[in-house]
Amino acid sequence: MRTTIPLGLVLTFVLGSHVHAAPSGVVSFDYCADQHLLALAEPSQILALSKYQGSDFSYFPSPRPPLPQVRGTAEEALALRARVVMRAFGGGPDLESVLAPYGIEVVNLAYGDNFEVARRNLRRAGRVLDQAAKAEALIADMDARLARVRAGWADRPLEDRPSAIYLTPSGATTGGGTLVDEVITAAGFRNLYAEAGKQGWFMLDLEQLLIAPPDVMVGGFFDLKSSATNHWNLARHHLIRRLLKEKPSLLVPGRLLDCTAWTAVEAVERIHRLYLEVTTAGGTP
Amino acid sequence: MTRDLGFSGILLFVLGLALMVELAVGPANLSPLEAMVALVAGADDDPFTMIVREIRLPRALVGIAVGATLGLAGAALQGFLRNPLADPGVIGVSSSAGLGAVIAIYGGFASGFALAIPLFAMTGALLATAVLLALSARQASVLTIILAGIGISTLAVALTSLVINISPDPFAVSDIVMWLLGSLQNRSFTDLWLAGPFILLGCGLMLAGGPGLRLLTFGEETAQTMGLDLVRLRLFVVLGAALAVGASVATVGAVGFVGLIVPHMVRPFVGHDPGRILVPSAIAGAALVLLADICVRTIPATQELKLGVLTGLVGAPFFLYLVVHTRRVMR
Repeated sequence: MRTTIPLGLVLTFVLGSHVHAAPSGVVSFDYCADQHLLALAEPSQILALSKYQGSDFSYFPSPRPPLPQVRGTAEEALALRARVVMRAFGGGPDLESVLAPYGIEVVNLAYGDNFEVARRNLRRAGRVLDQAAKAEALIADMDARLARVRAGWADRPLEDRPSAIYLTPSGATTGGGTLVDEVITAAGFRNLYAEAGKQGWFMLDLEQLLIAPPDVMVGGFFDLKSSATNHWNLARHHLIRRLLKEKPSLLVPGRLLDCTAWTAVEAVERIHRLYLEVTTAGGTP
Repeated sequence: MTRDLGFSGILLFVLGLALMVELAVGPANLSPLEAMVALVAGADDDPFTMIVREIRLPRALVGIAVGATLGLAGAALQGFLRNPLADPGVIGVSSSAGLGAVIAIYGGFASGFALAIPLFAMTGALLATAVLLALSARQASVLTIILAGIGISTLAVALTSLVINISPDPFAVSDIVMWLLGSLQNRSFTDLWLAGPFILLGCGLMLAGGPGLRLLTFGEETAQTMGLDLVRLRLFVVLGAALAVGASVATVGAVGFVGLIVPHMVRPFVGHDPGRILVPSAIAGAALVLLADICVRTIPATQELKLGVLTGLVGAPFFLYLVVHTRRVMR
């Protein structure tokens, strides 16, 4: 303790000129925590958002007036005299043990593979922020929206539903046991690779795709400049480009799927709506 | 000469066999015969024809081009530097080319101009080779050249890590890392058309340096009295290796140790004349890369292994063996 208090004071002094200290509150270390904070917290509760806020990964636009942004280091949390640091992946390992001596609580939002984890994340954030009612309202809204989309497919047995595969620009796809698989299923499709018994994330195999092409392609993260123009990704392959043209391609912005969060319900609705638009225009696959 | 032709013929036969197997191996179950039929007489809209013609054939051709480049560059550099440990990967040419490609992509140059990647990669390779030559200067020992190469390679890797470190896109990090591991997966004819001209030009330059490399075995001064234009030879080998290796790395990432191993495999059959091992090294390099690619496609794993990982696993112990062997010989 004899060494930690002077260290905190020194850090505050050194960093004070770069980051404006606020009396108390919550700091976010990554874009997943940003969206939970912006959805649940009162503006007065937020001391700073992450450096990602305002980027392609952000679900919400930057608040007005803008809030301070941090890279996601323990020093910044100390300099801001944060009460709580919220994060999903930012801040590096051992953040809790570094900040615990200063009484700063670290809230870890879970990475998960289903909507239940998204619900737990909301409840956890709501409890910490003393905004449990808002969290429950968001969960209820998410569940109602999921139920509405499911109702749209209710008359069509699972085996009659169109098959789909998920694709990112770098060629990643998913089998069962991921949030994206739940999104695809909730939107009314059969995930071809989950049906084939594959689990988790893996790289798409072009040959398998040609042998057993899906009825629709669900794409994520194609809106990101860094991914879409990336030379070494699979999306530039002419066979993929051809498939994306020939098959109904239902593209979802990356910001809806980059966290285990309630935002994924918007991806479900979007995929469902795009599919209805495509099939209304050109017939049912 | 007849022995050389005979050996090259055997290597070409092995390469041909490897090509047939490469065209027949993959998730879609096809026999070599079915693959050949699909290649030659398949209907354009048949999925198996598309698999063979548009996935496996470009993959194999890129593998042949890259393998030939690496084998030839290894033989040319070993002859020019008179160093049995020289290899585009060991002396930092490959990692510098990789750095060039990474800068081209994350600097945004590649999005508007596809040729930016091979051009940047070749510039990286050229700079690395030029720095290596400047550092090792005249009469440099085997150790000096290797240490200089390790220094260049370390710097290139550090700068690549810096680009990864400051990348604003967390998802891009895995893309870069996976690409740098080296792979022929999903390479298309577009890749071949982009890199092919530079690979051909680079290989042509290195082959043109063959007679000079032969003279160089007598030592620089003697070779010059015998009419060797050292500046021209340096231009042929250095520029040739930089162009061909840079274009190769831009296409498939870093595939290490092929250039190190292949000349040592070839020498027992064609002798130690650095001019004579160039062509067999190119053919053997192509065959080795195709065989390695067949291995990565057939090894049962949840994900296809990266080609650079396999060549590294085989090449690194061989490199250590050469270090021990060279130390004993040169003591």
